[in-house]
Amino acid sequence: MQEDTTNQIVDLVDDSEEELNFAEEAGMVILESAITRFVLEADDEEVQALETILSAHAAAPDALPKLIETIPRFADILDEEMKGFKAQADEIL
Amino acid sequence: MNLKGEGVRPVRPVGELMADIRRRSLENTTSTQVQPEKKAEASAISSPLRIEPTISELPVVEDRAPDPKISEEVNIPTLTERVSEAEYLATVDGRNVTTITDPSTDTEKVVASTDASMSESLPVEAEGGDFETLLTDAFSGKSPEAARELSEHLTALIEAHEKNLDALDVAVAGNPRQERTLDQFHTREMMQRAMKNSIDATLLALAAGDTVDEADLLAQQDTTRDLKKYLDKDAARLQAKFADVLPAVSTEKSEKEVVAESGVEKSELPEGPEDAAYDSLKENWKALRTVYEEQEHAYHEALRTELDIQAKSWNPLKSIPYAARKMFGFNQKLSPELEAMKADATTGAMLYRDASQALAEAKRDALTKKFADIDLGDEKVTNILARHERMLGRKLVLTRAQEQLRTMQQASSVAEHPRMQKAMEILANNKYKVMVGTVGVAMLSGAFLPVLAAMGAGVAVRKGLGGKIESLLKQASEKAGREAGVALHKERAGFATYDDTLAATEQALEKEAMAKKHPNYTNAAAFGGAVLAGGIAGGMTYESSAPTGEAMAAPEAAAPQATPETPEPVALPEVAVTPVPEAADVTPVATSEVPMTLPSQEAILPLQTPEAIPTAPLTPDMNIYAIQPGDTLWDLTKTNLTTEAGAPTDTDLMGFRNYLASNPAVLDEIGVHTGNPDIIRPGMDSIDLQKLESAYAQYTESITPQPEAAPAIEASAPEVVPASQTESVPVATEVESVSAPEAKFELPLDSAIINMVQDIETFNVEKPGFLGLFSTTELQTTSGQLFDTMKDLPLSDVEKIYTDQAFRAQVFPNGVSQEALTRWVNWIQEQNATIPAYTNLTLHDYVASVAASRNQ
Repeated sequence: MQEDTTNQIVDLVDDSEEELNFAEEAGMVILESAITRFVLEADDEEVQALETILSAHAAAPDALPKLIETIPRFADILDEEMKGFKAQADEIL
Repeated sequence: MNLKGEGVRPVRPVGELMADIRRRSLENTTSTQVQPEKKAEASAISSPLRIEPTISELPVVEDRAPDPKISEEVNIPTLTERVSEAEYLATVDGRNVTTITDPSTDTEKVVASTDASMSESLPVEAEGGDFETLLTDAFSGKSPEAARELSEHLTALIEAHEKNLDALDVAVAGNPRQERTLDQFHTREMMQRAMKNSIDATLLALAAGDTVDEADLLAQQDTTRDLKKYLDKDAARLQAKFADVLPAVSTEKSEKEVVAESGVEKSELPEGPEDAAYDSLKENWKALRTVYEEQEHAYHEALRTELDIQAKSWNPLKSIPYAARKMFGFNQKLSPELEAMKADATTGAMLYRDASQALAEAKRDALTKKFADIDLGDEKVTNILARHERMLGRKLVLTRAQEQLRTMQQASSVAEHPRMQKAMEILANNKYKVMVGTVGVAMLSGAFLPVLAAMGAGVAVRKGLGGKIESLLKQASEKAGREAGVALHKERAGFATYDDTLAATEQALEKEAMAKKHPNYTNAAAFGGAVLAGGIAGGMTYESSAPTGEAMAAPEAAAPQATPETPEPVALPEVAVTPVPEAADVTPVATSEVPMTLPSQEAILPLQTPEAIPTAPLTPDMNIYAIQPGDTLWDLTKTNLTTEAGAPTDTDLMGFRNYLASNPAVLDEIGVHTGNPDIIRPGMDSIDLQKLESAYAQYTESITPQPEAAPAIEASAPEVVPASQTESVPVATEVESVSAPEAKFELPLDSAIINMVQDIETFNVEKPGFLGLFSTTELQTTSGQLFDTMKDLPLSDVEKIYTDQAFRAQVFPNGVSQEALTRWVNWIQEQNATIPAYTNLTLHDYVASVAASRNQ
């Protein structure tokens, strides 16, 4: 009965609003996790860059490309958190 | 106010704002909150977000002293005539209290009290127009009394909210799961109080007759509107929380409501053995849920403890990254004990998921028996259950991820480290942006994954998303627009509970059955109460759980509240704001040529088609219209009036609205709110249509001398242009073709446009999402700083940016892309989307209107 529970990320891209809600919640927890980890691990200049970009872009979809383009470490951490979330999803489901 | 920053009100950095919030929280030692003991322990975990709730745990002081800093700065007398809580409560509609039939236990008494006080917001909500009027008056700078009254009103709302929270604290004491969710309410309450303190500073100045900068007034007005919105939202969430505290009571209530509101006789829904089986399963399901959640929480508590122990032998700074990885890394090596706890929690999650599935199937069986003569459709039921299972699984994933995030942020080994506090500050700043309703941030998480995937950039999820990215982004955008920036507010309030998911599935199944049996049975009528009482918290609406709209019942018996939740398909307004044809030397620009990427046309749709308007029930006297909830003057006029030329056009209606707005005596005669013609005066249960017709006739006469303006406007009805076509139209280029707008618009424009021009300055006022419209480079000034005051530009400067290349270069020394300018135009449209006349406003129209208004 369950459909495609092995690929949560792909599965969440659906036309229903439920999928969107899940994407929002998942996206938020991943983003928060990535930012938290980044600030802990990065140097002062990198953190300053993150703050500047975030403050200059009210919407994350605008800020994220800038963050990833200009702060490679943030991109790496984000990637790790994405993979981690997916791995955990696979583990639970 | 100019482009050089002279006279421009400085924009406060978010960090400073948060610091101010914290300062105010620290100064506010008089919170009436009484936290349970457990909560005090939890808040001992030091992190920026968790320090603040401890402040509110200080001793209760009956009369809150005024903020000494505020008093010194503005030299304002203390508000001594604040509405007492007793007075405020006297206005409470206590109907919900009656739903508690057996207040014999302390918990139920507390909850009953909570419910009663929560309903305090009901009158305010019902009289939203009154609040808006009060808001407008208070910030007009001309009514100290209104400012004082608004301050008192906000104080009463905040205090009532605190009272509710206090009661819920007591009610959930001893239930760790519930206590954790209430923490989020307390965090938001702290933020809301900070907002209120900030607003009060301005209101107190106004109450004392002081002059306040206009930009500050408008900004604070917006903040006040946001605060009211948040308080209303939280009141609803507290209501859901209340239902969660006493699920049995609320569930019974919802089922009764379902039966009562559906019009189905009780005898048609006999309870059989299937219902008993379902009830039995539900108890097991609840037990499994509790076990799982306790296991999950215990595992993370143990993880924190272990990390604390390990941290003692670490160099704190070097250990932090490792600690963070270890805590949040998904493949970390844990001690055998922790691994066992984690395995237990995972097993509990599986059991809980399976039980949920069984419960849903039991519900299906029970419904099938009840409606044995109805074919529900196996495929549909299967789809519903599959969705249910999928959603439950995702909730489990989210629960664990959120627990892990909290573990990382709150672990004592790192929480007090400056770096962690910095991280929390950055996150808090983002949350604050969400709290104040930044429209763009509502898209944050929704668009997050696909954006990452689209960019590549080493992100691993690109594969598999493919062409659906655009679809999801569009959904996110529409949702953001529809919910006007509040979408993420609910997200931040906490994820939806599993009860929500199950309740949604139950409702979907019930809806299927009821819709089959009773064609008149509607979603809103059947489940509106169930959604409230069943705890659809976290913003999960029934609509979001319904798999398709196919089974939606016929709308004949639609309850009035169904209207806003079931918007009709997009219909473009009839009014097209374009230059009149006589302006021959101006390159004409069709309205539809400007990209229409509004977040949600449904949300901004100003006019309903006649079919979309609920059939107006008339009393036996056909001239008397019985007011329905949600009725607006616009609807009434469009539905009930007929002119010689037929039903009033949207242009007519807009003109009529403006006419009424400037003729309060006529408004009063009709019975519409004198401060806002869009709403019906509270307390009115009917309107005399003859009076309405009379007023409309007066309006028609008043515009008779200008008959040529209407055809010019109506002749340019917009066409729907494919997105691909609109994207290719360079907005700025079109505007630049207007070489001398002042000389090219000689005919009078529609009054709605003129009003729009006059009002349009409001979009220059504090708009948090503004900076996101431009790239950092574009906003970089010659001095290297970010140009962040564009939202404060006066109307004339905005116009010059588009029409004067030299001026534009001054604003954008690094150049500006067409895309950014287009986004700006769209943003203007979005900001003005709630006002019908602004829909379809193009940049060209805007500049033309400015010129025309000057000529007049």
